Amino acid sequence: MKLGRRAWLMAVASAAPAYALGRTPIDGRFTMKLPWPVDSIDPHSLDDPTAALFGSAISDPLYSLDRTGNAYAALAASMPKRDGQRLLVSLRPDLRTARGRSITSRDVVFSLTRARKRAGAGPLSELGRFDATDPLTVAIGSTDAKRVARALSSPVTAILPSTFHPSRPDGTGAFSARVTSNQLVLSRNPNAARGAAFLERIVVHRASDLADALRSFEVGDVDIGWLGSGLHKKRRGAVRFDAGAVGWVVLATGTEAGSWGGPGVAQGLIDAIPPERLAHLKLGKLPRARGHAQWGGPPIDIIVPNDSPHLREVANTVASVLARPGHELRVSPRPRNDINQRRRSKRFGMLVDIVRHIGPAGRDSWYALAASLDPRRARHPPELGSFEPRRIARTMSLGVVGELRVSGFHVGGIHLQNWDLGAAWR
Amino acid sequence: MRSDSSNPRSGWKISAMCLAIGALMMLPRPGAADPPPAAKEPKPPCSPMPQGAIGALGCELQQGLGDAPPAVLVAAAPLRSDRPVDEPGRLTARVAKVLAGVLGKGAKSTDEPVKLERGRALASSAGNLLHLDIELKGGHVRITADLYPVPKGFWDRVRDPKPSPVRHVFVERRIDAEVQSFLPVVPLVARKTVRAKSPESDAVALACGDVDADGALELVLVARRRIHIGRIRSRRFVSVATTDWEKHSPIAPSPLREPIASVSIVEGRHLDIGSSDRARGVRFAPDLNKLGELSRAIPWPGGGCSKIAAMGVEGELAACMPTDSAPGSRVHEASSDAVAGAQVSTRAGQRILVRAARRFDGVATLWDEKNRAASVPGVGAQLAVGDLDRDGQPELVSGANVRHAKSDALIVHTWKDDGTVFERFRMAVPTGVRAVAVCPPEDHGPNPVAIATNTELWIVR
Repeated sequence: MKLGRRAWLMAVASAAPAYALGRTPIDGRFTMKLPWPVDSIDPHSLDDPTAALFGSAISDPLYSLDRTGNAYAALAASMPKRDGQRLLVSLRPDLRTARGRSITSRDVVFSLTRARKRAGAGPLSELGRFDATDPLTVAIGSTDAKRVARALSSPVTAILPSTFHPSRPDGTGAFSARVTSNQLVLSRNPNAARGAAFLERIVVHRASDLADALRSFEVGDVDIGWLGSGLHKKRRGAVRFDAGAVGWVVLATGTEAGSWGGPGVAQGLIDAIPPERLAHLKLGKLPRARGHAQWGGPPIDIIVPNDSPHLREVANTVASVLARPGHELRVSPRPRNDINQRRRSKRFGMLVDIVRHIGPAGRDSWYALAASLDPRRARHPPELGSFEPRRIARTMSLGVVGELRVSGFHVGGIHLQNWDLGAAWR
Repeated sequence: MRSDSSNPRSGWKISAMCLAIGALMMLPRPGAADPPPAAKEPKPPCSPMPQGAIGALGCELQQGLGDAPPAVLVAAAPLRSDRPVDEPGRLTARVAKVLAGVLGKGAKSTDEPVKLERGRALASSAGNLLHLDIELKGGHVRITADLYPVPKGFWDRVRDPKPSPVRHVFVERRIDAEVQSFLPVVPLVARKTVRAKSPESDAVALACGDVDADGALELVLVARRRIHIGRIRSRRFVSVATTDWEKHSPIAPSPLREPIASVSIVEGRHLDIGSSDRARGVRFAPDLNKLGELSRAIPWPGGGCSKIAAMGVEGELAACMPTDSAPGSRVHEASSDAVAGAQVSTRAGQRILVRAARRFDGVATLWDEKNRAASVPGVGAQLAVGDLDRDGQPELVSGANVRHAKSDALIVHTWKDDGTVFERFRMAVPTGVRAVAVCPPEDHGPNPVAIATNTELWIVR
């Protein structure tokens, strides 16, 4: 398969065109404060909000999709080539991560194998074995080059070094990342495989709650106002931005919910919540309420990751709307490890979490929502008339509360290109 | 028997023997340490680098004539020109004088433009006449030189009163500032803009010159995937040679988000092309056959290469390939995002290398071999250097330092001899200047400027 002209252009330098006017300034930096954890990033994780927001800034997949949905080579040197009953994917030579590690076919096999056990379970389920045939070539047990390229274009199949650890993130993206318990620092990566960032640095602080994030913007401590322009009043000169959704906020039901944990129940409850009750959480456009928003199951906990103030507020709102006497709902923030264990065993009543987008709307939505319940389930999507997330959720024991949107306000002079942080400049 | 030295016959014999022995002793012995006669080295080509067009023409004529006889009279015919010339006699006299100087061996010249008959008469005492036919046409100086023997004696004149030329040479060079100084001033105005559809929408560099030294100008268009050499014919870009980058150099491990690229043409020999998109630059033959690889570097028009760093072009200049001679200047700005250079002739016939580099803040620096330097603010990220009006004062040609194509423009600054820089010309290019190049002169107007926009190639004449 020949690499298309448009595809190549996209591959070489992300979304950056070769403007021969003035060049984009390359020394800018900005800060933001988010009601999300900043102490780790795992691009292969489905429920990692930090990866949803910043994963594409630090890592790249082998392929990417253009605006029309066609795959083009990113870290791969070309489109997959047929070799008998398998496909060969060649890696671009001399690739290095931000921490200076060479990327070879062994890292590709490591990454795809790791991704298949996590968020990439769906897209990678139809591909066979991954074998490194030489330092720059990986053989994949499939014969459908188009499908393979598309599967390998998901951000959750990003190529990471085999030494990768979420608390010490590394990749070939436009930025390198350093994380601490309350701060994420993205610095320009000179080894970036698709062009180093224009910005010198982005510093992300952890906000204690939504109000903290807005207050910091209002008083001028940070340059990005998450979801708003200020807590009490709008910051002067603030410019609105909306880069769309990067995931969904979901409410899952577990075994402790009893008969109310069955497929479709959670979505039914959420659909009955008046949208104005959720409006302050900025979860995107919400449908009109229908049905009765009343929990009828046993008193249970709504567990929520304790490192995500935004999700905690969603859980509080949902609990306040759905609970009634005798059918109490209590919000219980817990460490993410505990959440992950409970999710695997389904030993919980309700769980509020996020599910990342893993590809364009459609079949990938089903893969993502299904894998959030059990990666092993995310294999054979049913033939559905619509892959609209709320409809998909009615077939599962979870409900889509709303979208995790990248929106808010920024100070003048910052140029955010659809949240492609590598192309952002100041 | 005894010898009788008084016998004249025996004395002759002895003398002959001595001479023979002496001669034998003087003969070279086989295997002696005498070095073999050195092979006759070909004369070096008349490079345009150190001298202007007139000097180079003189050099080429001298080489073409070979060993000219001594005491030649060099005389030029009245100038033929496709444009008005202020003092045609001064130009022809200058060429004749330079050639006489180059020929040496008592060669003289005449200041008077003369026809052949008159030339023969003037050369009657010299014995040989070198008659020059000088023509200015299509931006070139063309000289036809014929060497005539002049009959010396009466009977020679009777036998052949008008001998045919014994040698004939034709040379041509483009008009430069020295030649232009004999011509009317070239006004720096755009008389005509020819637009042609570009074969690529993502041009990153452009060059203009006689790539294959066939006398016609070519455009070298470097895009992100392909390289073209071609000409504009009937408002269409006609490709003469095309090649894909992919065949010659893989994608760079860490390309720049906004590519930097450049082309350097050495007319008739090769062209060096480098792009930050690619792992290595490439040296091509004029037909785009690969001759060799440069490192990950940007070639400077005018000579030398600079390495590509994390965000731009490094400050140090080096030879592009190990076999190349070292570039004139070693270091430019610390880091830049656009480079340009050109050999510019002064009115005195000297050729100097002028370079330009743009910093990330949109300030371009011009400097030359005489250690002069000047800054030009507000310059876009595509540069070219040349002497558009051939007045010996170089021009910096650039886009505007703007973010949107609609506001873009072609801007020409002149770097004057007194060191000041001022804007001479500005023309809106609302489709955005992606690459720019200065062409050699084509006619009596300013040197054409080639522009690559998003969709078109423009030739501004």
